[in-house]
Amino acid sequence: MELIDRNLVIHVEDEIDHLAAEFIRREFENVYTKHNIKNVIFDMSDVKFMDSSGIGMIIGRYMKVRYIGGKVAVTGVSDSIDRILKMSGVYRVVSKFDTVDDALRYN
Amino acid sequence: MSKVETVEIKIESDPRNEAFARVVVAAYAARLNPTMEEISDIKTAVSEAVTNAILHGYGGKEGVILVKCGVEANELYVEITDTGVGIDNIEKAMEPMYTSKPELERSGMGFAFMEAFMTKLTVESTPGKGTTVKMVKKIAKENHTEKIMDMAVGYN
Repeated sequence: MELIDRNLVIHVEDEIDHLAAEFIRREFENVYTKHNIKNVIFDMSDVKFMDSSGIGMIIGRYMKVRYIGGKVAVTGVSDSIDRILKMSGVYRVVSKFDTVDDALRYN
Repeated sequence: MSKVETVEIKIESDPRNEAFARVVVAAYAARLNPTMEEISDIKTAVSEAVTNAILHGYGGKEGVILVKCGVEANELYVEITDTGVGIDNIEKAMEPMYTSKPELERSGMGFAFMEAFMTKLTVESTPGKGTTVKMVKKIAKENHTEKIMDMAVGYN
């Protein structure tokens, strides 16, 4: 995870299942209580697998930051992950960008 | 299940076994020459079913999950069984976005994903006895032709 201004960039590794989602959520909560975070960017370029636990994790972060006008974005999304994100309707509240830099520019 | 060459594994209700179960089933399915996309579909569906068994069936407690695989022609059969609490209202449980555990940040998309990514999904459950999720994935036959063509032109 890296903090750029008020943007928390989460570089997600390998696979997002129930176990990984719980881990990321705990890490997020740790950082969130210590810093004044507004936006969250999930860098998915290293993600090879995701199930619905990933959807819960992304929506959970959105619910957290939306009260302060924050945004959630995903970047580096592969075709298989994109299919899952599309199917779940996540893109109604989460934006997709090619790179983290693109997402930062937008925020 | 009366399919040839079946595989059965028993795993503990431990979140670490979600990855193990989906990898085993994907490896088993390899004999049908699935595409990367089909493998990804199978892995997601198995992950959803095993996660349900752990989180909902056994409520995070100890238990055994039985994973059975079989093939018939170009179809993969997967059965995932737990002897946990069972589901009171299967119809309700299968509604997209419905979750009985919102505090766990579950998206409620588990069954919707199993349905979307597999060719067929059947859920059998008895409250107090457990749940069996049966899934079928039809593997497109063109894959075989593609493979043969690839070999013929020297890609493999």
